[in-house]
Amino acid sequence: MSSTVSSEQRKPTEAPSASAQPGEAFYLTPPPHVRRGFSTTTRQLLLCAALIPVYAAAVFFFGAAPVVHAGVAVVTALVVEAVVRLLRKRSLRAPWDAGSPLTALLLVATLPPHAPIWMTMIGVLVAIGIGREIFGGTGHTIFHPALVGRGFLAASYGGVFRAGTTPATPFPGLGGRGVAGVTGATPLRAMAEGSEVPLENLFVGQVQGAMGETSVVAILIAAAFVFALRLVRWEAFVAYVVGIVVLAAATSPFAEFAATPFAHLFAGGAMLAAVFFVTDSETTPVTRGGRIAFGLGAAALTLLIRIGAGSVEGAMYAILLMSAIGPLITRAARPQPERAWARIAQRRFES
Amino acid sequence: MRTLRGLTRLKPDQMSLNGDEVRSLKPTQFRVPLHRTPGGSAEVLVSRRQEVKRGERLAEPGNESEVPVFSPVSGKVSRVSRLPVPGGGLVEHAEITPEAGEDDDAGAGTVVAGDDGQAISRANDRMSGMIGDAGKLAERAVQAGIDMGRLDELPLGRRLARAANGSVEHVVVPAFGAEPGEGLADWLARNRPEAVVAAAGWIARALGLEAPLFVTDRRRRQVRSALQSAAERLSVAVRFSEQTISYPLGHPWVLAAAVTGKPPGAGAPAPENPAALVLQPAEAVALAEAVSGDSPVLDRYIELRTDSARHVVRAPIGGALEELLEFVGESSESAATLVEGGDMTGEAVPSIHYSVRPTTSGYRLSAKVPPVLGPCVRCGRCVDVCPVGLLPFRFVGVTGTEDPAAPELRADACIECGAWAAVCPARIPLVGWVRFAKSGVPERDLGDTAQQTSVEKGEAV
Ligand code: SF4
Ligand code: SF4
Repeated sequence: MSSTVSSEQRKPTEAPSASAQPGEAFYLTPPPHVRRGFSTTTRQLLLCAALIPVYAAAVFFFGAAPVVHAGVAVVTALVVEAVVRLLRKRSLRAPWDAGSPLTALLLVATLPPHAPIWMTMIGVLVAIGIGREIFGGTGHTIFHPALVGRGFLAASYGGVFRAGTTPATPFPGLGGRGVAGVTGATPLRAMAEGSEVPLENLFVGQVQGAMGETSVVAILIAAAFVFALRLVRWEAFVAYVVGIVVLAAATSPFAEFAATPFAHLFAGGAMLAAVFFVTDSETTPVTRGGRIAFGLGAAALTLLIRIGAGSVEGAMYAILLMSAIGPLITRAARPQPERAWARIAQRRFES
Repeated sequence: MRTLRGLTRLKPDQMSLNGDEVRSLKPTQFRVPLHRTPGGSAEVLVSRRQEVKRGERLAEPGNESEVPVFSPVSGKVSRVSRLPVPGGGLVEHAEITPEAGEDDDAGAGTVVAGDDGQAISRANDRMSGMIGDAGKLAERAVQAGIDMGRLDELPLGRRLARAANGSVEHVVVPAFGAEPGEGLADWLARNRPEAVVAAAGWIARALGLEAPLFVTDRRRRQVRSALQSAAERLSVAVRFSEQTISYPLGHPWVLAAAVTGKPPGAGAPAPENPAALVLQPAEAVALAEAVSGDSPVLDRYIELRTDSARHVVRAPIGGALEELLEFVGESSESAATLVEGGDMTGEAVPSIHYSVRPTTSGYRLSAKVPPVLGPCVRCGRCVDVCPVGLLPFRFVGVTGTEDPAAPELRADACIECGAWAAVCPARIPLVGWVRFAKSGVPERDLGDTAQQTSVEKGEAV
């Protein structure tokens, strides 16, 4: 600068500082100054709310067990989170984003109703402690924490998951309609053994299975809520559902698995996974193409595990496996400014 | 094209700025910036204790992207000093105390009469002879000190000078609020249509074009009819393009691409589009007034918004912000943020002790405390809305062009529209990050934030 006069240097004002009068200093924030859409916390809370129909169906079929499990799980999750915060020397008052109760509720949804309460607690401990907090909490998880918890439980207490018949309800007297009249096996096992499971039973949830996974209609209500509010993006959901149906149709002539494509989709945890796990923002790729690839890959793996391993529910493992390569899919995306500009130029305002 | 639907439009009732609201501010303190940006330069012509007359030159342009600066008031220079400007950095300012007892007519902030239809119309007749002489018009705009456009673009006269040597196909006037909540362009088009139409017509003719193109919002028909009848009164040929406006269509580069059908040319930082000259209504008004009143730019229209009200003020350049607020009867007492410019790209003003710049389109005072940020949850919303196809979330933690991650991210193509950050659920101030990615700021200068976020990035991506 070619100023010929002596310049007095003044410090830029910092704001809002303790010494400033009210109305003199303001927050120094970078643009933009308007925000749109839900914040992370609101989004997680709304996702919790989206589980209400799922839990309502679970109560209808399994009695009070789902509610008791959910309550215990949420409390455990909050306690674990608080302990981890203290261990990491972070304030308990630091911003909280409702990620841990959501994880707990999702985990419970994947457990069978006859699971003992201690199992839920262990699952939550693993899900929150290892699945979530060790990675650094919200924004840093690589594998969906609820699936980490469920994977741990399935590996350690597989018998509980494989149990074909519902043992005496753990909370007698509070039982729901129950699943009487259904063969004493989970639909996937039944189908693997060659018996047909009526599609309408799968649709309403009149089958054995995990608390939140059986009722397709409840999950669809949740899905409508989730997608209407745009809490999660739809690409991976569509890719996964279409992938399961198409691949199941394509493989059915060869597999010894008496399942129609829609039975595959409606049985086991596929629908719950499609709405709540495949669409998770953190553990799936960021770009649109990446999410479609993720959904298709998870669908293929789900079927591969189901068919290859007989009756084992593959959806949850499939997603865990895909999450491992999710970051690579994201990495492969490249910015496309030229293409974007060409698209803008096509608008042709002047005509 | 990806745009932010629903974010651009104001509700019609919010738009009822009416013509009576314009008032002229006569401050008692002036801090006149002598160059545009902290990186700019000026040859300062005045020194401390010097008497200056209204309209006297305070500084000559120090380079090809500056314009001269004039004193908005007669008075005494109390000092020349470097003061902070919104967005950060220091700019040389002349602080001027107006003469006591100065009479109203010569006072700061008076304009060519509010109803200047006559003057504009006379000027329009005079200017009809200027066909093809864009260089002369450009020089006139530079010498009048017109710099009412965007800070990331050159002043009007400088752009016009370039256009005179190039092959411009369109003169485009966005007659709509380019940013959410912003209504100044819309207001000017409706309330000063003669000035807008006349100036746009002069420029188009000077560049050898038949008529300027006005882009209007389909939902704001009044704007179009105001411009149309002004064009008929002045016998200026005009063209219209009615669009459903969504953000960031008002961005000059986006608008130019949409109008010409050509993507912007290469060139950092501004990917210029040689095929279009985008003329902001505020620039048009300034040009029309400078020509018709034969005077340099000493003041400008400013839109002042609070959470509940909006005012249009005619404020002198350099007028003190505190006096501006007092003038319109607003208090900053309960305000948490004060922003200069639009909601999407405007800059926070950290203190009340700032003043009006030529490029200040307005201020917004808000009681809302800025949101708390969280870590990126990789939701991909930013990728969805980025109009130029970048991967905004990956800029988080990239700390300069030296960063190994920088080259493949194409920060150079970012137009800093802010669209991504507006939708980010983690409320990450992504525009700040892309600026780092574009700049050479070394990591250590960013302190804890950068380190913390680099760690996050390492895990996240
Ligand atoms: S930066 Fe924000 S909008 Fe982009 S992916 Fe991360 S959380 Fe989502
Ligand atoms: S990366 Fe740049 S162009 Fe893309 S949305 Fe963000 S600010 Fe706008």
